[in-house]
Amino acid sequence: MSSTHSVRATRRTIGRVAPLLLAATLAGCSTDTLLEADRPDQIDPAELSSNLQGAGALHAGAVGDFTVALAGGNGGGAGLGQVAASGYLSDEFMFGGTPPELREMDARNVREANGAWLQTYIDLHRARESGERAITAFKAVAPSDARVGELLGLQAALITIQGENYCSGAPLSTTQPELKYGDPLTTAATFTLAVTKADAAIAGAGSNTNARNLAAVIKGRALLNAGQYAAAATAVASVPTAFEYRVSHGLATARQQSFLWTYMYNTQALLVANREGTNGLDFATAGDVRLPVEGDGRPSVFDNVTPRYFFRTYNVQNHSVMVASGVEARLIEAEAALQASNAAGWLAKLGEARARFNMAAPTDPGTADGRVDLMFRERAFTLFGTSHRVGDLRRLSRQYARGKETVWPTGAYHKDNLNRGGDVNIVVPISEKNNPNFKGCLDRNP
Amino acid sequence: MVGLFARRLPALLALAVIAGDLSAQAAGRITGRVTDKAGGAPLEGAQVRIEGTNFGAMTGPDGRYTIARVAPGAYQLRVIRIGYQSGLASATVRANEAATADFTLTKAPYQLEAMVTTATGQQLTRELGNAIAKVDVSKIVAEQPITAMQDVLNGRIAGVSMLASSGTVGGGARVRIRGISSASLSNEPLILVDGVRMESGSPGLAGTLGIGGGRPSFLNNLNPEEIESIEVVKGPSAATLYGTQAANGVIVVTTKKGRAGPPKWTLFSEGGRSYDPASYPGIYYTEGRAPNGTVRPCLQWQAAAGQCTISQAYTKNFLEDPAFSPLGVGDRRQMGAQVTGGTDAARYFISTDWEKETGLLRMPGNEIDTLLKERGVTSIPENQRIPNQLDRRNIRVNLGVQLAPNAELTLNSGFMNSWNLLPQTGDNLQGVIGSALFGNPNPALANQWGFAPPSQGFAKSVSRTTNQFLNSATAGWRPTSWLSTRGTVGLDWMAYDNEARIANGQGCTVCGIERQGTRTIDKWVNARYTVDLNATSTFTLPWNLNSKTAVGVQWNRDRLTGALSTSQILPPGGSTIDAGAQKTSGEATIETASLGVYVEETLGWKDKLFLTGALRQDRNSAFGTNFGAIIYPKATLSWVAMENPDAKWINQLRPRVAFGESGQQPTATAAITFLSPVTTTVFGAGDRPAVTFGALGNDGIRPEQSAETELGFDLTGWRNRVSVQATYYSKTTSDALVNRPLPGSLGAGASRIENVGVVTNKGAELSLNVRAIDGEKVRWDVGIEASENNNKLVSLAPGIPPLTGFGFQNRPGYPLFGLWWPKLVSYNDANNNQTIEPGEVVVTDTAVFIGATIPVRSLSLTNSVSLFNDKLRLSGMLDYRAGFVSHNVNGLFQCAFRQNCAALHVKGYDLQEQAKAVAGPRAFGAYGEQADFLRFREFSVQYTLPGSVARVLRATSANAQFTGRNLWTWTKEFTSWDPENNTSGSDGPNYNFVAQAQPRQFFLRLNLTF
Repeated sequence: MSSTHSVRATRRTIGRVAPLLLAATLAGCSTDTLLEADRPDQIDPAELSSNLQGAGALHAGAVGDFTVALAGGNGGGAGLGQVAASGYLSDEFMFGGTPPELREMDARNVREANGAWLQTYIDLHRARESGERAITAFKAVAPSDARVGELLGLQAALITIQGENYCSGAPLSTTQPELKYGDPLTTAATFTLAVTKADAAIAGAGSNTNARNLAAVIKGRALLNAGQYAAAATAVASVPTAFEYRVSHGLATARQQSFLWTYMYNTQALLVANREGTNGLDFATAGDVRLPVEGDGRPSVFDNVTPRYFFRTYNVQNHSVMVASGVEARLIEAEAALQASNAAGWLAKLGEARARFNMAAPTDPGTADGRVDLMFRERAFTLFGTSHRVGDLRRLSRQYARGKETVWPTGAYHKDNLNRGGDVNIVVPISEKNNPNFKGCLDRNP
Repeated sequence: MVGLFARRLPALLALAVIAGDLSAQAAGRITGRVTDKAGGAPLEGAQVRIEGTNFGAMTGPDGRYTIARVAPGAYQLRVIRIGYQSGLASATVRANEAATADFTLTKAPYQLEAMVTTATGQQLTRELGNAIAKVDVSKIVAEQPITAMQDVLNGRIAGVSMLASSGTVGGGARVRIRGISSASLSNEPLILVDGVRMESGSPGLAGTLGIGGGRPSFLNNLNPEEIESIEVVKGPSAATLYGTQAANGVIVVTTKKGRAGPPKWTLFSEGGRSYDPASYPGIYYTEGRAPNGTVRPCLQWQAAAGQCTISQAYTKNFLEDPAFSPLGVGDRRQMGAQVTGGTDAARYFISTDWEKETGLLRMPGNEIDTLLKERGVTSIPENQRIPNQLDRRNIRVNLGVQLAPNAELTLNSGFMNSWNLLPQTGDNLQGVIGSALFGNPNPALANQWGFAPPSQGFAKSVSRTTNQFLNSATAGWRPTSWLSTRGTVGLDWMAYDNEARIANGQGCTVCGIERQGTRTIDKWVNARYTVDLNATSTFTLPWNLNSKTAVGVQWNRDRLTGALSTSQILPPGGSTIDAGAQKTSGEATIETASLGVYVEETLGWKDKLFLTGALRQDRNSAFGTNFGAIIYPKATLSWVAMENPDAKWINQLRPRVAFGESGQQPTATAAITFLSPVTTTVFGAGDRPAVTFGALGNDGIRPEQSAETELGFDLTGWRNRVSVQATYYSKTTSDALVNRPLPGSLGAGASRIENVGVVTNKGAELSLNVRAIDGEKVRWDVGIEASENNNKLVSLAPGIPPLTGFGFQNRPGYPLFGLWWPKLVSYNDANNNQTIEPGEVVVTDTAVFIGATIPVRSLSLTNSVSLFNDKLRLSGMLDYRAGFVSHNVNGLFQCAFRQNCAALHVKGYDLQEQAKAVAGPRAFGAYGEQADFLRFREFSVQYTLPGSVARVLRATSANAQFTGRNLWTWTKEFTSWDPENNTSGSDGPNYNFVAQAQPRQFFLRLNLTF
């Protein structure tokens, strides 16, 4: 073979082999470092589960998530909160804005595909799961810490609110320690679960009266929903009238800021209602000291229709929201007395609750219906804007045999040529159907 | 990174050097000259290439070229130049000698043959099985009314849709190539500038930065004046080797490069005016008395129903009344200079320009007077008087250095600085168009504007300041006559600040806390790193076969970091973050990295049949830990079935077919479960550091994978006076990444990205160019770019309900992001009173499909006439889009919510509009309207000034242009003012709401060459 041929042959060989070698060389590299990505704003859950500081941070997060679940946030992924949902659906608030998906709640006609209220439902469960995460962390490093009782009490509150506001069949799922889809829970089963959780909270609270009273009031609330009036009164008996458990909004981040303030004072889309839909109470004009209202009643700038009345308790972005109180305990006791036909005791307990606001005791209307009306009016004005009203309106039908269209806002909607629907609870959002155990609400009954 | 290549590269280089040494002693070269057959003039810029290889050279001003380091042997060479038939010549190279190959080229109106940039380097179109569209940007910019990159692409390439968000200065457009494939990821194509990936997204402005709609696009950071050409790689079948992120197509931008020769200067100056072409509806208020005598609003149907008796009617039109309208005349000025030159050893291109544009919006004189009195000042800040402005500067330096006969280095560096003041026109309380449209003309009202009048709306100043360096270095080295290597490293570094400011007491009175003063500064830094290494070997094989093997590696890192600060409740005079009583801050980091390797083999037979096969393997930081790498295959076939440049009817016919896959990476953190740090307020204890749930990760997540089959043909005929490129494609995106809703009861977020969907895009494209008249003194060219794309979500995984959002549903069997609302079914004026009452309309109870929101069909028709030996050129473009709906929320909001539209107040108004108005509150879809439109998009007159005039200006040549844009619009059904706009600037939700119309613009431009 000549030298020229040899060179050509060598070139050909190298030419054929070189690309393959190059590819093989590159493919065989250890490339992990090339694919590392910086993620400074994400925390590995394992980092927090083995020390008290981590558990403390998870506790604070759970309290914050509870605040969002109850009262919403002004951004940061927060939903609108159960206070707004309950207030719109019932006769507490009227919708002064325009987005139709928000309006559906006020018009008692929420579709399961409604996206505007989805996050509000998720937040309810997110807060419960955050509590669970924190409880797990405390159990690992400080099982007797009273914050466990507080967190269990907040979980009990969330479950109670779910039972009050959502249709029968709403499940409870979890991702801890592994993903487990929940089965549909009837409304009654939901309250039973809430009572169980509240009992665990009382046990976990130890000597911490704040946590214990929180759990007691929530237990009483759940029992009241379950129609166990005497047991409810017993549960709250030891709670002093001055007791209050509040959560608070803050100013530092959008998630902390109040959605209620934003939608009420900033955009005039959440306005105190006045005799909404014939049956509604006169919240805006009653002049009740428990429900301070301001506003001139002129139309909202947004829809040019809905009268502007604002709930002055929420007139700053960092206001607090009552979760449980001794006043609510007295109201629970009052209702138990009413159920026991103890009119004097009933009036006395109402008077104790009113005294907290420097109000005189109410006068006995003298009739059974009148007493029920007064009982629920007292609750409505005392517990206004705290996500109690839907539960109460449902109870009026479920426990006091009131026709639903005699207690709920009914008939023509106040704008947009619409008529109200017949919702008495909130439909579980369609995305829940990704839970293989959930096929939809079991019923839409009160 | 450095360590890896430091370890590996020596081996590669040694391999190449050994190979180079083996052949160095045997190399020769090929030289020659390319001239015009008609007059013998030398042709500059012709590309000469050895067939079947990547080796070639470009002719200089004297028409000469040299291809160095060519192995001895017989070669066929091909020359390509725009405006001429491609030419062929043979040369036999001997060791250490120069072979000569000269070309004389014949003019041809159209020539399918072109060099295009592919992932493996420059290739002839005849070798490709795909349709690749090429736009001669430098020519378009010199002749057409171009103000931004979106104008360059709009209507010029079949299958490429530019979807505008608004007509404000700085308002961007989405680019969609062959439809949309992803329900949850970006559908923007990949942008490569001189081989470097560039950020082209259009992040929205929200919260205190909100402008109410419209999204500036970073694509418009590119300066068309600096661009030589754009090639569009339309789908996965062509984009396989670009890897993950390329499934939506690739736009390959090549900036202008230096050419050897004495300095050649080009100066230009442009000025123009913008006008609002839209007609706006008036607002109405009708007052009446109820039966009990009380005064109340009284709509026509309410009067007809006996609810009231009309006593007084009022109307107004803020937007069309010169005394009130915030819409005036916009102004644009631009000037720039470019110089190119150098030697064979070193060439340069330097460009700089400045542009200043003001939009249509102006604070009306009476509002200024009001403010002067209110504030007790003598002047109003310019940013409030003229709230929409753009001030931009670009400079670019591109250098090319011939390091050795077989090695060259190209350095490309561009810098852009811009300041864009964005107005409050859109969907918010500050938006002046909405405020004008949703007002109440009742004279008893103190403020007849719906929300904020211009004096308040324009008090909010939102701006984006951008500084961007776009750098690349490309080295090419041909160590042997059969091996060429290329390496590109680059960085797209962009810092942009989004800022908002409202002085205390100057904002909108109904906007709550903002009126007490707001200041926001969000500082973002976006860095995109690119490393792209490639080696290609070529061989001549027996049986007239050529082999070309390419291997390469690409590494990319995209990093976005942000520091976000907002301060509210400012003291009078305070304007900084620290001045606010209420401060919030945040930080964000998003980073992804990808690494891909590929190998491609092309076999050519007789330079007529080309078969290509390729594989690419990608790994990516966003892939799940349970998913390793993905492999994308590709195979193409191109057959030059007929080729006769001198034939009367068919000059070239090239059927082609291609199959390929590509992908889209998941979002950066989709794979991991994590917690997020937050601040929480604990009652009685103040703010506390806290941790909350972040997201539920999907450790099995893999890229969205798109496979595309494409077939078509390229044809030139009638003595190269007709060119046709026709393509059919079918793209299936399997493993589509979808934000799968999670059961809310998990408390783990609304959704998690999972590979659960299948999406198809099927369609056809046609590019047709005809030289209808080809005389010496008169030429007439007609061009058509037409396309149809049918998009469908084929399936979601079992058990997943349709994905819903505000006005859209992603439901199997329907297009992605179609418009879904309850809609008006019918109406009947049963009592024949010429008034439609709420009981006379029938609406659906549930949301129904109304239509696709992306145009299904597009067609642009371009006509260009040259007169007097090309001294006078006239051209125009008609742009037609059809097969889509737009949600006219302007009408919906006016009629359904504010109840101030003519349909509710004017007796005897069109019954259909009345029906929509009364149905609207229950059926938003009543205003889902067919949005097909035809727009006279561009018109230009270019005149080459006589030499005597040029000489007076001391120029070698001069031309002047008068151009116009958006001159006329026809729409079939759309009842609002601009069917092209999409306020959200995103695929979903898709609605048209109080966005400024695309402006009608006229420009005058002078180009001088020295």
